[in-house]
Amino acid sequence: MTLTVPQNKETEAQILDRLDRSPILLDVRGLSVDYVTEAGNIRACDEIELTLKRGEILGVAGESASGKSTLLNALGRLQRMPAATSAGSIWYHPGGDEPPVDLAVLDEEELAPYRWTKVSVVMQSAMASLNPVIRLGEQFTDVIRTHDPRLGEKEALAQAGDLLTMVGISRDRLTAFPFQLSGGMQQRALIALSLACDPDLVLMDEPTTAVDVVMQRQILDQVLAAQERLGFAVVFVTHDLSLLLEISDRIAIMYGGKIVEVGTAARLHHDAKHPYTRALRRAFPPLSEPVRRLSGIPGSPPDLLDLPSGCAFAPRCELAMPVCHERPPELREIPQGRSACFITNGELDEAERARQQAAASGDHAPEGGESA
Amino acid sequence: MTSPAHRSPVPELARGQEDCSRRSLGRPDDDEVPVLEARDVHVHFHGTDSHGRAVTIRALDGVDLALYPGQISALVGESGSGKTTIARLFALIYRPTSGELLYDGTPIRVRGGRAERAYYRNVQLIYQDPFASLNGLKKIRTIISRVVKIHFPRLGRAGIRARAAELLERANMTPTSRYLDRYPTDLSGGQRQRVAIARALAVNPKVLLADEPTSMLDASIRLDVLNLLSDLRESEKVAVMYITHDIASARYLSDRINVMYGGKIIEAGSTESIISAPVHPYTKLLLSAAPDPARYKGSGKPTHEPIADSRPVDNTSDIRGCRFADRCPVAMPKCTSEDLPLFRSIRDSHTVHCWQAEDDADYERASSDRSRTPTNSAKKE
Repeated sequence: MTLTVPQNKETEAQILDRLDRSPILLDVRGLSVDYVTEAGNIRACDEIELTLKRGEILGVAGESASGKSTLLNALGRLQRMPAATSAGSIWYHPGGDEPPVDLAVLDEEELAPYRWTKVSVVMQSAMASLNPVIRLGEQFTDVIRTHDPRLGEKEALAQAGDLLTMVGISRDRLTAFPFQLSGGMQQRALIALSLACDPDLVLMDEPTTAVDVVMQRQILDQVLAAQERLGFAVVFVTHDLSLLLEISDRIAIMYGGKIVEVGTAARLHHDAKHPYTRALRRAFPPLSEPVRRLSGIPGSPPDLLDLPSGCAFAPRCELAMPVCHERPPELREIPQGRSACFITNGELDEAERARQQAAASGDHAPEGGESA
Repeated sequence: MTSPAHRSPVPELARGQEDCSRRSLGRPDDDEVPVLEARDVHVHFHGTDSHGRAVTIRALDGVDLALYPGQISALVGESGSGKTTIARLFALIYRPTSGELLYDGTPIRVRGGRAERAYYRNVQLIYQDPFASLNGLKKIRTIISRVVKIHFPRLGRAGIRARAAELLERANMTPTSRYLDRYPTDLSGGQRQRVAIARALAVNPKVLLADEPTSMLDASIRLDVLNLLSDLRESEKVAVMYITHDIASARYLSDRINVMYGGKIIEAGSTESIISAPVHPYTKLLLSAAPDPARYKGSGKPTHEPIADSRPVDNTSDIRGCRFADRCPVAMPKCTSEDLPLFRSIRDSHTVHCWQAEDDADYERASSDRSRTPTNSAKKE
């Protein structure tokens, strides 16, 4: 089966315009998630602020332990102890005249109508998400009929068949057990399942990390084609920034449990404002652009139990100023996104910033970060 | 360097006989002898299919590959294409079903004992998972000195200590005193992988077989490991086989790229020639499918060409011609009715097993490709 290739015809301005006109779907305010441990609480997500529009594809990138999966689990209310949402709200806007609902405070029973029909999830390990001893068809009809009890078994199966066809799996695989499918097919089946109840939002946690590049591309094509047809919004978490640049309307970069930059793919590609984003961009060798010697990011990721008092990235940052070590910068609006870096977020006035930068270049080598 | 024990029933091929075809698989511009070479190697496994019937799995189906000192050769391809089998073959974990392995131009016939140890001193394997390849109960000092002790028993205690520190330094783990007395669990993934590389360097190897050495590492530390391998190529003149599914990193690191599909190297050439002028439709597919930051959303560039359905390759059947034909967008009848052809670039060492090169003025047909013929290999068995 050949697929339609996503055309990618929109310009950055058109993407921004589309997002601007689209109504709000999810409004995350001050969301914090803690892991309770004997050594103390580990804040894996710290006061996350996020707005997601209907039909938006939001990429979330970051390294291990940056809090990206924790954020995703919190949005889907999927976390279990020792993780707990300790502050903040997740306002879901149902659309129309209905008032927004705070998903963060609903109990399990109140939450049930939202699961699958409003918000669904695709996890990294398909084999672990699908029940190995139940045929694929039954796993689909279970979901479909739970949320629409009026449907008969036959109609539900027909729907399941349509969903599988949409992701390029033949209808007759409905009688197969998950282990009879290849890894790529399992992952696609899981994606089809997440779309079973026509959700407004699909949360995807590294859905293509376990498959090879060709299969990854096929899965992405199917996700994007389905997204175009059904119009759901996607939060796509991965460590692969190259991939996010290709598929996301906007990208949020996480570091040390915080969002440090938000921007369109175009802006992050050639005008990333946060030094960490730039360092992360440099960490992926290009495929078509000229090759030059790249360097990793010196130092190691922050210890969440012992975060520095200032910006979490400051100890590894070649542009760090004295103020960066003193207090954390705010995540502020900048043109085409947001930034949490004193150099670019406008928190310091011109004169103060110049003074800080002068102080920084005094005890650092002259800033050659970009050209080196 | 190896003392071949003549136990293998494989007849020794007359040397020099097929060198003209071989040379251009390596570098055409000099007569350098490859440090490690596979010639028409087949590795078959016996297994059962989903119905319980016995099948022969052709993990490697006629592979020619040469590694040269001071050169990094990348091996790219999808899961199940045979990349790791080649690494395990060179590490003597698997034996070829047919075909030949040569070290420094001499056929490898070692099995156990001293000769094998001597071989391991020259050829070292670096694994994918630095969490599993280091003993978590031993200090870094012990992990590295143990290798030194085994291979250089005459060094003495002080000598071994000094050598362990020196090795860590070569893997950019400085100051070494900070790491020597720590345990692997104290280190990050990138640091552990560097310890694994330091350990591999303990024996002054001529060849490093790196099996996806960075796939478990975070982006920010992945480059340090790649740069370390790149520096070792210069400083130690070591030959590196870099196995990866990330073609962008293969481009960044390697001098040559070998593309594998269904147990065969279907296209090989210098890195730039593979990236900028691929011939085989599978290579094109692989390049097109890889994420490329330059095709960011909003750039107006379509992300890739249409992709034919991706089915896992069936390497249990004994087919004629090309295993990619059933997925290939430009397949012709002769792809499966005739033997797989080998074409070689006139200008450089680019080789490709595909009819697409037939009408290309840059390519000429090489002598008939014997590596395909299963009857040939069956006779050798």
